[in-house]
Amino acid sequence: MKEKVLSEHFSIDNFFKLDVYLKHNGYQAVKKALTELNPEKILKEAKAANLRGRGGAGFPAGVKWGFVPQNGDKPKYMCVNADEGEPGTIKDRYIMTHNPHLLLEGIIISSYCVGINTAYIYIRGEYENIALRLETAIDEAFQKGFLGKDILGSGFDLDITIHRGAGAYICGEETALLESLEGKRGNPRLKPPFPASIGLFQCPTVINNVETLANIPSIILKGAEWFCALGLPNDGGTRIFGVSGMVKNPGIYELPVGTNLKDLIFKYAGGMKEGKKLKAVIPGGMSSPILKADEIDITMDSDTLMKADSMIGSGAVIVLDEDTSILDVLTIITKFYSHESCGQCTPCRIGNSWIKKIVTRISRGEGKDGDIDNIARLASNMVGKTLCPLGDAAAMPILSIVKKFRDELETSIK
Amino acid sequence: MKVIIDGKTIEAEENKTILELARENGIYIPSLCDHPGLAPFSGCRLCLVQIKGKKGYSPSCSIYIEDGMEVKTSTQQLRKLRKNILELILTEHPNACLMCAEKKECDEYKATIRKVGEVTGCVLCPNNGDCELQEIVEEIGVDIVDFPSYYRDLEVKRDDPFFDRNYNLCILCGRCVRICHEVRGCSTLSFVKRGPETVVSTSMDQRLIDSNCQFCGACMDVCPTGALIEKGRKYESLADDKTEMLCPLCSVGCRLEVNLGEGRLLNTRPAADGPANHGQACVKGRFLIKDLVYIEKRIEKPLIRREKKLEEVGWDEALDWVAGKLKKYKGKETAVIRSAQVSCEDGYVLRKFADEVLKTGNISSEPAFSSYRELAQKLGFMPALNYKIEEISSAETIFLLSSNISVSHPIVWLEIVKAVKNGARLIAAGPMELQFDRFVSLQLRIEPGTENILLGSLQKILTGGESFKAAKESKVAENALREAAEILKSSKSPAFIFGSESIQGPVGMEVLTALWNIALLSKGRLYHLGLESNSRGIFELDRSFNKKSRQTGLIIQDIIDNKVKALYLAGSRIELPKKARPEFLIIQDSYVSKNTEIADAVLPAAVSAEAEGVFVNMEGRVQKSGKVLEPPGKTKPDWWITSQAAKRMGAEAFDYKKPSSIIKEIRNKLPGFANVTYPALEKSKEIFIKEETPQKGKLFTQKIISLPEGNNKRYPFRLVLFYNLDFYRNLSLSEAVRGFRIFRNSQWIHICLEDADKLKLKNGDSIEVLSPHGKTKVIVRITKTVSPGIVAASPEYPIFNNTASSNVLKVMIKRGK
Amino acid sequence: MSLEFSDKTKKTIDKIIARYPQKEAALLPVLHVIQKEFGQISEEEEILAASLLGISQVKVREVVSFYTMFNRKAVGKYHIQVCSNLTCTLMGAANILNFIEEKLGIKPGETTSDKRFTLSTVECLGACEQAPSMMVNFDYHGHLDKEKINEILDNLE
Repeated sequence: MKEKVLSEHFSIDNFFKLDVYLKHNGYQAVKKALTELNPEKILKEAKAANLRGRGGAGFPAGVKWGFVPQNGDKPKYMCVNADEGEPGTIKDRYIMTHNPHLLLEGIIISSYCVGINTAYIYIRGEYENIALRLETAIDEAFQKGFLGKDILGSGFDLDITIHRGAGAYICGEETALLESLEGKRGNPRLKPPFPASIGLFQCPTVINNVETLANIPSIILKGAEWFCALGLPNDGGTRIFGVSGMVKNPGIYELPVGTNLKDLIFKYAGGMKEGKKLKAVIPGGMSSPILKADEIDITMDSDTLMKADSMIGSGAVIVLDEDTSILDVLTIITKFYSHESCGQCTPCRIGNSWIKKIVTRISRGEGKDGDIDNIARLASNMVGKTLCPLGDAAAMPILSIVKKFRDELETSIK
Repeated sequence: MKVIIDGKTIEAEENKTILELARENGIYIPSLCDHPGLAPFSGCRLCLVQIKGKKGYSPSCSIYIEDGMEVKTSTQQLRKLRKNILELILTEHPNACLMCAEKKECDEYKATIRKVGEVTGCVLCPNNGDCELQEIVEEIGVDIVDFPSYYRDLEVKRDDPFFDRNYNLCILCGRCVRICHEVRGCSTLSFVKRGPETVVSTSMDQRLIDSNCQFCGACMDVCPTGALIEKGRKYESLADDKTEMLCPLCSVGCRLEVNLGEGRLLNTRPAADGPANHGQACVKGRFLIKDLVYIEKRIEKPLIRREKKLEEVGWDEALDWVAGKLKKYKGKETAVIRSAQVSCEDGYVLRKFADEVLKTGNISSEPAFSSYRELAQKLGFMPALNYKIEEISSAETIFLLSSNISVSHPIVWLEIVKAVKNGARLIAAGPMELQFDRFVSLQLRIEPGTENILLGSLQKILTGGESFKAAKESKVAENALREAAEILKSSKSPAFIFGSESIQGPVGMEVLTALWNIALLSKGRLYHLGLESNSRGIFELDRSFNKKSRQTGLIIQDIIDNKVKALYLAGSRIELPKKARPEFLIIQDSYVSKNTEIADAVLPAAVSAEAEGVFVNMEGRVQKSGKVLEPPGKTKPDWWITSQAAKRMGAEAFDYKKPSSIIKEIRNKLPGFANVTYPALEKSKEIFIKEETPQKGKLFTQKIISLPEGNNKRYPFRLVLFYNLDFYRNLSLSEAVRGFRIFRNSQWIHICLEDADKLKLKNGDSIEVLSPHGKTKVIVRITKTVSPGIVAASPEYPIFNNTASSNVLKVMIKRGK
Repeated sequence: MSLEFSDKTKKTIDKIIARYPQKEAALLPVLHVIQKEFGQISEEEEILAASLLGISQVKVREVVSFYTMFNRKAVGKYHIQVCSNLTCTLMGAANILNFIEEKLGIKPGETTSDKRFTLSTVECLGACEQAPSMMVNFDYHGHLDKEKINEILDNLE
């Protein structure tokens, strides 16, 4: 039995309620952090844990916190990225549904560490029921003195507000999230300046993913060394992998960072559905480049997948079987990114729109010579050239599909 | 710091983007979304560059330079990348003409095709040749687009005045949206929808005119394509020449760039380096200057009345006839009423004509500054009047006593918007609410005519006094007034901005005194807005003559009393009441009006675009306006006409060959103009009226005068006057230009919804306003800026104007027939 | 006629606005409340939001039109949103959609004449492990097949 950090108690009835949560060591981490540790120690611990961001970019959380200027008269803000929108991704939904207090603990500890008194949880609009559950959890925590003024007599104050999005994938990008939180269109901001110095309401801001923060309490209780040992030396802990698509047992699997992708699919998720053959895997949410069946003997961690020209992203594994038409996959991907482009920069707005038009035309059976090259050219014009990472997120899976499944696509044209 | 661009080491100052530095050093980086004065947008991605040590590509418009930075702007990858991006832009913009082999020949022969409705190529586009996208295609060299053209098929919006909007040509650079929001503070335009469906639109896709648009034209001026199409230029030839002039339509003195084609004035745009306007203008300077020149109402030949009819004659005949008639009157039987929209040269010659030829003291004074003369007498010196409009943007606190400033002086309003965006607090006092009330941090809404009570009370609070009348009479809550005082006390050098309307009339002097005192107490500065394009200039000229000038109202009373029998009316918008028809009436003006119909002689004057001359704006800045066009027909500049009349009456010192010789005379006579010469004005934009050395001020007793109650039963409404300044010489702009009239009409009377409902009035209804002074017809305009019981109107109409001396007028409203 | 809130909603909105240092930031949550109260965000609702937060109308317009969850026109009592993204499509979302279309006699974007159901397709709902999935109002339903859809829709009030 592998050790679980986040999902250990998911199956306990009513675990989302504070009284049940307290029976299982709840809020011990907050107690320890606020009464025994100081912010410097927490920061040191978080850095040592090598906790990489679980949202997609994989940036070490402790380092991110360290960027926030310590002096200055402006207030600082924490924004929790719960805008789970990357297709394939389901993990934050599970954490917030089954273990909301763990997330709250993570928010309290990291806010204390950075010197933040106001936190916002930006949750995707569709998760209304989860937002309600989080609000109840926040109310409970307030009543018990885990939130509000002078938490546990430490002199530290924290207020958390739930802020619902309203249907825009781009708001998962951290600066677009800030704009959206400020009541504006979710257009990403130019970087620099980075949110750590000028973020929400022009103030220093930390933005972390739900899963990232939910790991903090265990790091505080059991130490960075323990956490690192769970995973890899420079990519610590476990991850909640979401497996979906043509496998026998789709679902979430909390496993150490560095678990083999092949094992994840065949050992944990029960292998292929109806005994079909594996065709390809999208390993980290739709924006990660595709892996062919013969490329999946690979460990699931940031660095390894990057070396394989893909990425671990949100750890959302989408499994495609032999019957899947790669053109269908491409059509859905291009439709999605064209729909979700904010429209500010040329390569993404017009590029995605043309890729979609060409792919749709091919799927109507009206493909032409040169179409595939044009798709590749349009996608290449996005990589590294757009205003925000959405351009890359769209281009990389498209380029990988064109590269790895060119033959199949060509047959759709002829 | 040192920055290396394309191998060239450049010494640079901080706080610049790579793009700015490159441009300053003549290094070309294409960009379609960047624009000076707007925050970086990084949308078009054409300005991508490569920076040593940085992965990939960086947008030069939003990356700030750092010491030792090495930038490459034109590598082969970059050129290819730009071509690709430009190609994408062109797939959604009609592009056939850009890549056509016949394009050079076509431009010459197909200019007239621009009259078609839908633009499907450059030769059909009104902005052909004036398009940044075209220039960039030329520069980068796109000769083939790999994708079929995609026409978005958006409806072309043609139902607004002044310009059409064809978003099928829009490349979504966002300049229009950003300038509307960031610079103009108007937020009429915005991005709507997202991704490939994004369009620029208004709230609910309404017409601009229903969306709070001020028609400043800033969006058109920054648009890099032909998406925004100036109606007035659609059917004109292409521009073949460019020159500059000053806008004559308010006291800001905006410099305008003039496009000329085949000898015609095509349009005017704000000059980027205008010292007062910094590349901005308002609806009048942007869209109406052309109408001032070409409107049908222009008078082009001298007219004299013979056998009851006005007859066209030559100049010699007209002038001799006028001179002969005028000679018959005694000095005090004659009068000159003069506009403050004429140049210093014109105004000076008119004044000299009154003094030395007619030998009359009946010359109209400049009302905008009248209270200043009295204040100067009390002080023993003239308070400093010069300032720079741009100073206002750095004020911490602004106390504004001019509710209509965004209409009367839009360029000053922009500086206030800038200040508020920088964190300044805006205290707005007055009987009306500001149109853009979201910028106001403290509103002191007062009863009409109680400005002096409000300010007197504020002064008392500032000096530690207790009791005041404000709460009772001006209806401002005591705590609001105390808050205002606290704000003023806590800020460094607050700016007090006030319109001329508040310092005119029976209590004008008390208002000015109170402002002076409060500014002194809070170590602030007074900013008087002035009125017309040369109000300050005429005031300065008058100050040097020994004899005092007189209020226009008094001169008109003298005509009614038959004390004045001959009137020389030069460029004045005054509409003479029927009773005030003098025995002999000479009109020196540019347009047909009610006055010209009853005149004995009409002497056609050139308009500002047709004559050079010197103007002094509200800042005290002296600027020369250039001659852009030849005057039409027999029209002549004012100074020429007046000095010719003077000569024919036997005067000798009027032998001016050109306006510069008048300026020379002014310079020698008036110390304020000591620095003013034509060559100096052509060289420098920073020449100001020379002021006396400012002396230390002292506080004055200010009398708090309450206005008489009046007959409230018969006249239940109080009418507040505000300035639109929508006239040029004897032409009412809203009467003359239909597009403008839809947007803003001087005949409008502003009334709140509540009162309108009570009287069963709706927008556009024609009604009658009656006051003890007479009645006039006006048009209902429902607004949120006035409270119940109050109506507001512009003083362009006679009964309002004649009573401008009391600021508030009790009126009754009757439904028209 | 201008729109009016119930007292309870007014209080909710005041509370929401108080959560932010800048009033404008409350726009999305306030729009959610308004949509809940009036069923839609049309012109009137946009004007209301602008006046509640002291911002210009066009600022509301640009925001409303950016996000997909604000309905220009009121939807039916039950808003069925079927996921059309990758995993759900692989698992047969197209058939699910077809079945619902036939069952209710409407196409995506349409509302039944009795105003009971509105059908839409949406991007990934974040429930890929139970694909194909859909949302009825804010309730998630996964592992859909014909029987399950019948059961869900027939048991609605």
